[in-house]
Amino acid sequence: MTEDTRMLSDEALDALLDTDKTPPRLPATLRMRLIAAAPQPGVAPTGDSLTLARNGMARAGRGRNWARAAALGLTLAGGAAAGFAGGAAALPTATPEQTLLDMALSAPFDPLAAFAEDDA
Amino acid sequence: MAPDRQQALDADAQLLRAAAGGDREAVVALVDGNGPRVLALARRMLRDEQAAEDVVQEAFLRLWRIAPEWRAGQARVSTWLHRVALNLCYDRLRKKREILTDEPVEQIDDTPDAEAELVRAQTAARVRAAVDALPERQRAAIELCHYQELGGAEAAEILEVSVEALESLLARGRRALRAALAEDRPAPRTDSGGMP
Repeated sequence: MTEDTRMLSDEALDALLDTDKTPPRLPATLRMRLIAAAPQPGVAPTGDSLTLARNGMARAGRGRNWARAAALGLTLAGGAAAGFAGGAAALPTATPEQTLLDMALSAPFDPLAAFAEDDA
Repeated sequence: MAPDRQQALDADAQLLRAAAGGDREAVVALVDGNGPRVLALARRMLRDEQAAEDVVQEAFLRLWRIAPEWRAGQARVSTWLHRVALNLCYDRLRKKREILTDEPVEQIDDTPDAEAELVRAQTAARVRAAVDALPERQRAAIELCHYQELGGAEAAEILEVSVEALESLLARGRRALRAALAEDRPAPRTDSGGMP
């Protein structure tokens, strides 16, 4: 069978396909959710807790107090053992991802107070 | 099994064992090592950022759940994640047949490269539409082999087909793309455009 001469060559097709190629990148909030959902002794992650985490981060993603809501998301995902002390003054501006993760996993947390501050 | 593949398999399995025991560094290594590529696959299959993130989250959640029972040698973690994510994408695509496409946004830009970038974006959108129009399995084969840059054996394992069947899917997919993209490719310029 002969090839249709109007069709692209393999090389031309590869070049075209490459125009829609972008390097993979993991958004910071998703990365935190995946890490927060990982096995922790005594805490079983559930779909519900992850949904709550995602909602917290979606709220954060609109630009206002994202760090606090991200921490809240982590807290909900991580279960009762996780927590965050709350308070905007304590929130870091540099390398927030790891810092928030550490904070969320190490301190007590009052989610209602955090939301109240977020809405203020 | 090739030494490189065995080594990669063992490295992932070791990380997963450590993650199952609560080792956060292992968790981070697994997320950073596999998350971006799995998300890239889900993005390309679904064309919906939120849905793609949900798929990645679900795939990792399943990985974390089975981590304590993971047996070294059964599969590469990355292969397993790709397979789970792909099946989750299929589920979503079947539930929602309409494909969302991201049309390039035209922006006024007077930088010297603006026109070239616009042409590139338009070409990318055309390619994206052609790939999206492929039958599901052919599309998955193209995504795994071209965009995820996986080898034939691993892509076949993810699709749960033989390497020969994968090659057939690829050949049919590429043929369809070559035809589709040739049909609406711009006519070649006939003027020489040269200055004496």
